[in-house]
Amino acid sequence: MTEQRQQPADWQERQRALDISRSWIVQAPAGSGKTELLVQRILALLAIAESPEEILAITFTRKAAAEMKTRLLQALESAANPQQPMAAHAAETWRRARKVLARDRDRAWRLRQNPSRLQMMTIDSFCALLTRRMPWLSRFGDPPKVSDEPEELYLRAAEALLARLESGGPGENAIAVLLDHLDNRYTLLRDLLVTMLGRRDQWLRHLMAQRQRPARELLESGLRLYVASRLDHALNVIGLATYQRLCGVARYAAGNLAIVQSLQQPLAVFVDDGDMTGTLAHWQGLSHLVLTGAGTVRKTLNKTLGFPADKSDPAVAAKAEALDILETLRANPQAIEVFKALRHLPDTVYQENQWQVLQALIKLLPLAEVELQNIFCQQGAVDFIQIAGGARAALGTAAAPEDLLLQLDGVLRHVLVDEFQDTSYAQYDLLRCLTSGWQAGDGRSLFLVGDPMQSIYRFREAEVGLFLRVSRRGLDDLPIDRLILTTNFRSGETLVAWVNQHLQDLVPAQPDEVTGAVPFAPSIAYHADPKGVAISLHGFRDRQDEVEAAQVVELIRQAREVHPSGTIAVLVRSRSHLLKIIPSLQQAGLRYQAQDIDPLTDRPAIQDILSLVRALHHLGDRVAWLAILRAPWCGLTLTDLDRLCGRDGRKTIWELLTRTDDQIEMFDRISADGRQRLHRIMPILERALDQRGRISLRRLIESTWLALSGPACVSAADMKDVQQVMVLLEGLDNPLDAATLENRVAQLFAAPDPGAGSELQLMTIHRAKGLEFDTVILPGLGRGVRTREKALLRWLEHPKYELLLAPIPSYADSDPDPTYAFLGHVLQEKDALETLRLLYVAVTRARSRLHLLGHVRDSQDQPIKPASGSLLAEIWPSAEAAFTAGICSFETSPEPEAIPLPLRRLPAGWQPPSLPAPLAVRQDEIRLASETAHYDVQPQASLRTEEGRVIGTLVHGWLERIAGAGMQDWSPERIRAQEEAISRQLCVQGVPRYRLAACVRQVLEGLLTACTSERGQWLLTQHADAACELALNGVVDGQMVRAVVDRTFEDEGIRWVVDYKTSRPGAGESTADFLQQEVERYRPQLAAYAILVGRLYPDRMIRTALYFPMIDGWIVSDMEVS
Amino acid sequence: MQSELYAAARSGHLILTANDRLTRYLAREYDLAQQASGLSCWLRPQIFSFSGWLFRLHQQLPEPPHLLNKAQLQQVWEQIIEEDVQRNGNILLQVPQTAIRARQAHTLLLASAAEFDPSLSAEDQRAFLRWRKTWRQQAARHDWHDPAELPDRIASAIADGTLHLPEQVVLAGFDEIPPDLERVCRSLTSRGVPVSRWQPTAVDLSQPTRVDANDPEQEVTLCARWVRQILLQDPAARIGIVVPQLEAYQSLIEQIFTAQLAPQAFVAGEEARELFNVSLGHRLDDEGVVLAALRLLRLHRQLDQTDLTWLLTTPYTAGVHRESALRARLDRELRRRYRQHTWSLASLVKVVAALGKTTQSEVPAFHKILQNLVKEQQRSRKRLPGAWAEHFSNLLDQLGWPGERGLNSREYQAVGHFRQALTELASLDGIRKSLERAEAVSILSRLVAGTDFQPEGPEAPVQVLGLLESGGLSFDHLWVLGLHDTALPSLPRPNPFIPLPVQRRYRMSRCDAEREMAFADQAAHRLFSAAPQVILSWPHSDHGVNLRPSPYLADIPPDQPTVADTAAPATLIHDKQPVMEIIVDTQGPPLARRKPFSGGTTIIKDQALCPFRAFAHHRLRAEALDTPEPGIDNLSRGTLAHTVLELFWKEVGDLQTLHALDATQRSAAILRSVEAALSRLEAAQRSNLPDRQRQLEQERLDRVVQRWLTIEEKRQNFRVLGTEETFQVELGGLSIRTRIDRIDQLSDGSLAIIDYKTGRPDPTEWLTERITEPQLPIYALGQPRGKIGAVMCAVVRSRSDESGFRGLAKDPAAWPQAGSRTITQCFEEMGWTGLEDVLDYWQQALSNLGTAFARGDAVVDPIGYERACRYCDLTSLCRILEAAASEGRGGDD
Ligand code: SF4
Repeated sequence: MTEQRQQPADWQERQRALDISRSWIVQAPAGSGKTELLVQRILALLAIAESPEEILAITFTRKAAAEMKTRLLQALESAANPQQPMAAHAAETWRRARKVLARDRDRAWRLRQNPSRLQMMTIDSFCALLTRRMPWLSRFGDPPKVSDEPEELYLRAAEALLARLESGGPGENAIAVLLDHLDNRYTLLRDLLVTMLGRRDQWLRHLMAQRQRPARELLESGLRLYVASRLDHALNVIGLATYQRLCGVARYAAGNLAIVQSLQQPLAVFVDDGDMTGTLAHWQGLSHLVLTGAGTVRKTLNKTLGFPADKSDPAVAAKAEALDILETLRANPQAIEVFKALRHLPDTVYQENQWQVLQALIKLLPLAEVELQNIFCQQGAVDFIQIAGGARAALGTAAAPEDLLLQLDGVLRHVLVDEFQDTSYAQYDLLRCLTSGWQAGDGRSLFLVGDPMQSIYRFREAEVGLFLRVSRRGLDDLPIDRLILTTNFRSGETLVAWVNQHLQDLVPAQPDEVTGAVPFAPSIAYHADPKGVAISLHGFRDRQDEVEAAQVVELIRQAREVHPSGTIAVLVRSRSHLLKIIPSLQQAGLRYQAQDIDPLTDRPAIQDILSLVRALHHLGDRVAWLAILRAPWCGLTLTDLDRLCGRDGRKTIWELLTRTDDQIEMFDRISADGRQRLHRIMPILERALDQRGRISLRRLIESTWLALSGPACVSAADMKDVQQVMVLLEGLDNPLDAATLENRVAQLFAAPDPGAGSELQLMTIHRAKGLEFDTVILPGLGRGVRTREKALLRWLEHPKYELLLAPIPSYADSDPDPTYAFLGHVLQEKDALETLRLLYVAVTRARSRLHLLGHVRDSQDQPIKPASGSLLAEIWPSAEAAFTAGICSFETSPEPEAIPLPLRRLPAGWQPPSLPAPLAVRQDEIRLASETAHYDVQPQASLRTEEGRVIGTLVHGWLERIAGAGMQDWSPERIRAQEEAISRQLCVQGVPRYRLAACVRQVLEGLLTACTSERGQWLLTQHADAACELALNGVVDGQMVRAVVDRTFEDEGIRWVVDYKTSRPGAGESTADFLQQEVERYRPQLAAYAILVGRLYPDRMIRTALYFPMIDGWIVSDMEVS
Repeated sequence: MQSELYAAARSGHLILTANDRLTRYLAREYDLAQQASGLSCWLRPQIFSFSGWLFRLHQQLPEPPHLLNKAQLQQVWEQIIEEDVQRNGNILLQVPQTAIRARQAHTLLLASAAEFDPSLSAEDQRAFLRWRKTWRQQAARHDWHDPAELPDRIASAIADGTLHLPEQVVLAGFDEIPPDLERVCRSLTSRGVPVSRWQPTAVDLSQPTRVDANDPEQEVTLCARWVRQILLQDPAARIGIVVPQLEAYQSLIEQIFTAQLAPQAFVAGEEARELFNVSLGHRLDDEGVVLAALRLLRLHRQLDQTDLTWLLTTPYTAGVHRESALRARLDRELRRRYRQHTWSLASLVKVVAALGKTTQSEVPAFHKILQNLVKEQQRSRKRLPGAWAEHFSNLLDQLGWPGERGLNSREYQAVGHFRQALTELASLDGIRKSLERAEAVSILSRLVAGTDFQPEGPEAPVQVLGLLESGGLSFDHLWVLGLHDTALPSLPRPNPFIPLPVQRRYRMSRCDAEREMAFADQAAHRLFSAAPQVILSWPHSDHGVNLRPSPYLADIPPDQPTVADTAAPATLIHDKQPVMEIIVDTQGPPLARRKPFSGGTTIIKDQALCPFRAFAHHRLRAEALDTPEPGIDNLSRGTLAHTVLELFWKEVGDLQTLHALDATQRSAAILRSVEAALSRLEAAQRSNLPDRQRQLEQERLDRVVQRWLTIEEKRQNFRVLGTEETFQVELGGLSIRTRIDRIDQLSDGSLAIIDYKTGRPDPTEWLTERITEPQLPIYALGQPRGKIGAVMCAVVRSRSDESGFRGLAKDPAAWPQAGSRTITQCFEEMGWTGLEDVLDYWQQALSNLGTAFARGDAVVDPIGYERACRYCDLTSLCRILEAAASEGRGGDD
């Protein structure tokens, strides 16, 4: 193919993009090779950088960051090869990478050895980095962890806030107002607050601003101005003359209606309005007069509209006049649009109760945020919004940009952002901060790449309007020029032409920051059509998923025939659209990779594990207990279950199974088969119950599942899924409640089939972004989506009219709320545009073959039409003909006769395999001679025992010190003078203040006794060859022993081995008894000491003794050793 | 043990090591060498970690400085930061963690003997300097010292000659000599003490082997099987596993190593500490027994349902042995009857006592626990930390912690550590003033969370270590795991409180990429020759993100290690692949008794929705635990509306009377009913509704009833004959007892049977093949045939546009109702002409359902997934998902 060498049509744009002295925003449509461009630009920057840390590349996902880094390193790798590659773009990259390598050598960066110097990360990681480096300014302190489940934190915050209703505190009245408004539905309000907290990056700044000013006036003036501007526009379109004529007709009609007394009518405003016109109500009245409910111009006018079938002249004339106006309007589509739009305009004032609710929200929502901060604080965990907020705060308050430099590894001079169309407002704001003070030509640059047509992350707050804003106005003071790439390297000519043709007219021609309307930029195919190119549309009359699924299978077969090694993707808008397709593929024997498609909650194997968790967690969870008795590893029949527990609804199943009185009778009742099954699993469950808390939840469940032979009951694919649940359980020890567990499991999906290649993949369109396939099949285009839930607050930030706000409508009343509805309408419009973009992303994944499948609704009285909100509805205007032409109907096949669900279970005589025996390893035990601890003794939390231990340690330490230094230096005065030091030592060791004095007294008493008594002096005085705390190791009875001898010395030919004990006789115990008991207790220890010391002094007579400094007690252990 | 070190140890030279682990290792090696040389007793060698040695020496100083312990230091710094934050009118999310980081900066500066200039630093660092200044002032005032000051104290004492000096010093296992150690060494040499360095000499070896794995899981599995292979052949082998990012790998290693090395123990839920040891500990508060202690201490005043369930099910309290089943039952009852999301301890005690009596399931020990908690609640004055520590330990004793079952070794050690944490709390007496209870609990929790728990066990042949701890150790076999490109060299993590240039100048650890690389060079050099056999491995991807191999692997070709067959129990059990038994089991035993079966109309409803559901709910009494919601939940709201209307009509009686009431009288009557209904609910729940919620609910009910009455007003004359009448019906072989919400006598003398609904009922469901809304049909069957004039749902909702009557009537026009058109359609389809036909149909259909239930029919046959199963609590028991799964996913191949 000779075309390979030819320059793409937009090569000049691409060259300009590498001009690193300027900042660019690049509009890069699907297939335009933007990653390559980014890599080339980074290479260009690296070639002149002082340090690699000067350059920061921000990607949308971690995966993308890793890929970009790999691409860059590959470029450097291949540049190490002196041979220039043949292909033009590869040569360009190679040349640039060579320059970087030279720089790398010069500056000793060792980039290839230390690639972590390349700063490529997601915006979240970058924010996290900033907060890590600026703990004080970000107000985080040491970085908190980012919670995987922020919803749980929002929930706690919302509950804490709502608790103020009863406990009092700021916001209590606001809560009452809202609850009343929501028909006193506490949990509804809570859940709405939770949703709001998850989007607080959007409303918080607005609401904080509202608190500082006369909010109502300003907000209403925004509404007024907005409405006024729409009305002006309407008047312009319709023309004053027509308008006045219409008003005349309306007044006539209103007069008639007034007579029949239905003033709840939109036209009521025209009654006695004294010729005052032009208000919103007037306009809406006219709209009602002109348009039918379906939005077409009325053809007839009847008495309900104020035109009674009256044959009088004025009546006939008025009706004729009206019909005449309608006739002119019918020919004016723009006017029709205007009248339609009028229906959705907001009120210009807030109704009193509406305002009250809004006020309550303005008060309450910021308080919710404060509660959330408290929760973050308690949990040491935050969400991504908070991280971004922290980063933003740190950047915003850093006194000077220099501060930032001190904190980052180098001067940040160049920032590159990929997928800029999916930037949220918060991220945009951060970027502004980061580049504040940057100017054209100062050696710093910004490089933003994205495709506004591929902005599909509105649900994650992506705001495509920002792309438009920056490409129009730059970023604050920094001018940013716009480049538009047009070459599509991915799809062949036919496909590119199809996309151009079908989307061009659908996308609004005028960009609009508010709705995110992006004009379409057509692409030029770089490659001619590959072999087997095809585009097909398959329409279905009414939804029948099975038939669509069969068609999908057929298309896959065809694609395989045409292009056996080609890749195929089945892309859907929502994973539930694959529900019927997956079984069809399996029946057809087609293996596929599917990620995050197949939810684990619905797997029986997983349900069994959850039952096990719940049963072990709660003996009273009867469903769970019965479920584990019915699960395949046990498989009790219904009859046996009934015999077991049908008579007693109160006792727990475990009681019924184990309490002997019932048990004997119960085991008589159930079948022999049931008995055998129960006997297999009961010991396992008993052990598991005993291990609760002792081992982690994961280990508990996993080991129990293994012991129950769980793995024998499931498929190989299930094994992987189970593993995922086990990993999930690992993080869930504390605190476990069933709802949390179920929520978490609901977020797990079956692992992709490891045996399937990448030739056939199923995924959502969102996931497919950035990928390409030879064949793309898009089923389910006719299916709509769930409508948006109502939010507590709707808002719109308008470039001209600032903020438009509306609170949620009442749940207790049915009054309409036009302002809320208006904002909803704008949101809908945004959604519609996004849906169209989603379709664009989907169709542009294809290299050569594209198949669209979707159904339309066919009802008798209406033309066939796809469901509103469906992808098909979006391209309907341009695809209608093609779809209707190929539409196929089908017979509904009768439901197959249901066969009852069988019970699958292990055979009664099942024996699990025997597992490999424990490994034999060499074990050298080392024993401490003083080791007495034994855990069969029940420990207590009591601290008094601890105190005794501390005193003992201190006395030992001091006696060592005294004896070591020579006890002649230690007069009683000097010892007493240590009071302060001793007191501190005790304190450090955790003796509470009010016990200090008593403990100090004891220590001193012990020391003084030892230093003043005759026995003590004899012990401590400087003997021949004396030692304190003598550490000896050796072998006793074939076992390695380590010992520390408190005091040993020689006196009169005897080697004394003495151990200090700080215990004392209990109340009423005689000293002699006490001493005797103690010596018995420590005899083994003393014996070991004697043996060891005896080996050091083989020719000495050894005597061992205990000394009790507290009571000057002394007892010789009469065992003697040679 | 290598000979030169052995010789040094035997001559009593001082050996200073990089960490405690190496100290233990060398001491043990020495002992084994001594034993091997035939000795039976010897002096313990002078082997200490640097910090351990400093600490010992410090006690020999003539005037030992008063060192604060870790907990004390932490508190001091926390307070300093807290006060600074407040003074600046700021917030700081994580004060305790910040204190740790700031102290670390302080220590780093001390160790490097470095200072920096505030004017050259960022605001974060100036904040740190402020804190440090305050610390210094406070330390001087109280004569407090930080252990980090010790090196310089000791160094000068050595230089002064105040300390007894060792003959020679050997530094063992340091990859780098930290600057403070270097200063101490300089003092030593200045006094003529020779200082030398020792690292195990590189083994003569062939090149290390490189193993490429798909992901960490496969990597660890290979490694474990490799270990297994070695130990099978050589039980005396010593194996090292070094993991640069040990934290990320810890749990994988613990799982997979246990499974592969000790499969039987794995299945028994036991550990294999005698086989392998991971140098990283666990958080102490991950131990069940400790967690329980903290949780017990946190219970105070208010318990939410989660807390309560925990308290009732935890094995760590008194009386569990006798009461565990009773407590589980109690929890079920509490949830079912009282529906309280949050309990106050006081009312809980009462309810538990009362419930125990009525259900003959008394739980005296639990009752005692609650009483103790109530008493605790009254003692809320401030105390010193030490007093709290003691108080907590007494409270735990009273509650019976740590429970009645014996502790195993791990738990025993954990309890010991917990007690240690309590003494640490007590040690704050000199640092903190009196504390609130909550504050004391939170400090204790943090102390516990900060405690690293590593249960002691026997010396294991397999040592799993981090990079730092592996210095100085040698092995027969070594595997280095997880060598991807951000693990070695790792990403820099400079301390944010010291300016980077300063950190670079002093070469502080982890400060930048160059520093990391220098460290990685050293470590790689040492590790790759630390054993005769060295294996280096890396995973291609982790959690879907592609990784690259560490640059240190670049030149080594990948290879396959020799590994043992898998011993993982999961695989072995799965591979045994039994032939599963498949049986049809859709029938339970028939009902024995003929007396009324409890469950009411729900039985029929369930039977209609799905026979299995009826069997499980009503025969097996399988019902999910109720989960109370905060606020007044939907069920209670429904009940309240019911009750209000019941009471209202009891008082008012008929439509005429209603008309006769003027607005005030009507309002008063409504108010009385609302008030009475609320009180009835409160009596049933044995606790009053919270004031404001009660107020709001009262207003709501008032509004709802007002609106509802405007609907009733539109009806033709009627008289309310009865409300909540109980009666019994026979349906096939089943007899049930039930209650009718309301019966009206209409103007023509016929009866209207009325059921209040607060949801959105659909009367067409009465007319389908399975009657899934059978209440009203059943009620109708219980009435004399000819007298029925209407069967109606009274849909009472807050919004008046959603309220009205829905149902069947002889004279539909007399009822302000919505949605009757579909019913007419049904009539046409079924060829019915009037109510009589419907009643015939009901008789037939309901009897069929009753018979099926009495027979024990229990086939899993839901009327539709959406309608029957989505909100059914039995999905796990009926195994309906197997139907979906066998369709969704093929067999095993
Ligand atoms: S989940 Fe469905 S199939 Fe199972 S018992 Fe409930 S209704 Fe029946």
